[in-house]
Amino acid sequence: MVYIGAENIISNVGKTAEENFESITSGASCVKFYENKGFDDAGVFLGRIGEDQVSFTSLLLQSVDSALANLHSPDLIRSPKTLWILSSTKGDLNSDINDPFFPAISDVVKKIGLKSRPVCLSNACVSGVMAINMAGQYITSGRYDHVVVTGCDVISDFVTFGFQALFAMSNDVCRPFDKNRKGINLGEGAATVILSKEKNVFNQEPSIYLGGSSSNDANHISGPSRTGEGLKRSIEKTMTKANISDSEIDHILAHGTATLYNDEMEAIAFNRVGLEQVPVNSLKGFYGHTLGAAGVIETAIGLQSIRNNIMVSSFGFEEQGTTQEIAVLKENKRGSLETFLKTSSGFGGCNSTLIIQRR
Amino acid sequence: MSAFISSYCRITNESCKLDGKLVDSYSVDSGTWAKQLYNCLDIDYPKFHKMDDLAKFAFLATELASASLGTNHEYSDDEIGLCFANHSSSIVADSKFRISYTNDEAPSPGVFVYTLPNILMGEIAIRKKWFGDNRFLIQKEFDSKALLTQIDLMLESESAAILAGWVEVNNEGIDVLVFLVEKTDRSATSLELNNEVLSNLHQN
Repeated sequence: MVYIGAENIISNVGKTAEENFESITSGASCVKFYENKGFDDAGVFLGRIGEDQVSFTSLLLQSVDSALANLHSPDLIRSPKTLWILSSTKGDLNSDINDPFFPAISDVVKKIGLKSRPVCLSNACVSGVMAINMAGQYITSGRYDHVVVTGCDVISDFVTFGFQALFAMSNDVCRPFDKNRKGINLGEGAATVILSKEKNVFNQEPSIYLGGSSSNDANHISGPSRTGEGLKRSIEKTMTKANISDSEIDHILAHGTATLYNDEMEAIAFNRVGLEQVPVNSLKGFYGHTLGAAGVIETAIGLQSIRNNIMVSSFGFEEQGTTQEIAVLKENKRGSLETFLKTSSGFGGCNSTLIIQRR
Repeated sequence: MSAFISSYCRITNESCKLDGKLVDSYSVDSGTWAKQLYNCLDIDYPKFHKMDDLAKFAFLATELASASLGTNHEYSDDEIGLCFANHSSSIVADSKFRISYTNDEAPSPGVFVYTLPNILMGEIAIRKKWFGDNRFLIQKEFDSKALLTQIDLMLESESAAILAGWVEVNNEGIDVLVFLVEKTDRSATSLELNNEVLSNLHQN
């Protein structure tokens, strides 16, 4: 059995998972208009943590420390049976484009006193979900007893200008799955979850990590598959591994970037696997797309949803905007939530999914 | 888990070798090294020319290291996993993209899409029609033990074979080792997959 909990989220709307959950369930979004943060001083909508450039290393440390504080013994990080996995697409690019990952990783490892060799996963927008799945594998295979997973990306001119160049940025707060969606907002943040083979390391009741998988679309490096093939395959593999049927999934935390093609692809995939009736949200309207942090932030919100028995509304959604219908949450929905599916898809044609259940 | 390297390809600034045997040596007169190798392998794949250098060298090494599989292999389309690692992520494309927007020009979308290291696995998946598991790791330096652990995790999970590799392509040069891992020693030249073998393949 693999337990998951001790979640933390650092964003503009909170420094703990609890604060974040309270903020977003009351409708607060991190995304705001910034007059001259785009290329050529264009105005852009971004989910920034603050006005000033945030430090990648400080964010990592803050998130790891805050998650460790949710354990009976934060010293667990110093056990040789504990691993730390970082999920990030661009690392500390703002400090050094030539070496964006290791100065920050080495710094954090030293400060938290990690004894094992850290793992860094950089797999576009699925990195977070993939890192949690990897953590699950490290535990079920007996290699480690506890794995701390942190997802983090910060806003940079580099990424902002890139998405502007792709004409993928929304000129408003993004609206995943909505008829009038116009693209993404970029966001920044960090989140940490801890997986363990022992349930009693957690201060609060953990959930159970049931399994996950990844599949490639084998279709296009930057465009979503028109058939949702990779996402469909990943969901099916994950359901098989988790031994969960479609009728047992109560909630989907989707990827939902709010680009025309991504959301369309996800709706197709959910229909192909028979999950079109399951209440689904995207949290990108609250956070923007936080890239390597997204999968961890969204899984942490899923854990909070189980704790609070609330499925969070899909911010920005008003009218069905995909050719195949899915059950997008217009409002927060109260009620017992036992099992959720988290999905993610990204550049390179990658798709990763996982299933978590209430203990 | 016991596993075997069925085939491996090593590309450096000077040469390209398959299973230790020279395929081609870099010649200054023949344009770029990637293009020279592409011509040498006699591939017809127009998408190659759009790729950045990281994806190009990973692609070329994959063509060579996976050739022994043939087209009638035993694996289903999602049983072959991809596991790659490097230190500098997509540094060549990153530098190029940064230049595109700092020199008072417009940021280039064509360069931007290659500013993620896992894009190379997308290119390989498209070429091979492989729908399996993928993962890209950033490591401090070539770390055979960490790579072996990932390969083991993938073989214990859903992959029956893995195309794996170290693909460091930075502004100084090329350090590529791509190898095909299978659970059986199919050929007389198969090598047992272990730390020592992997370190040696990278050193040579």
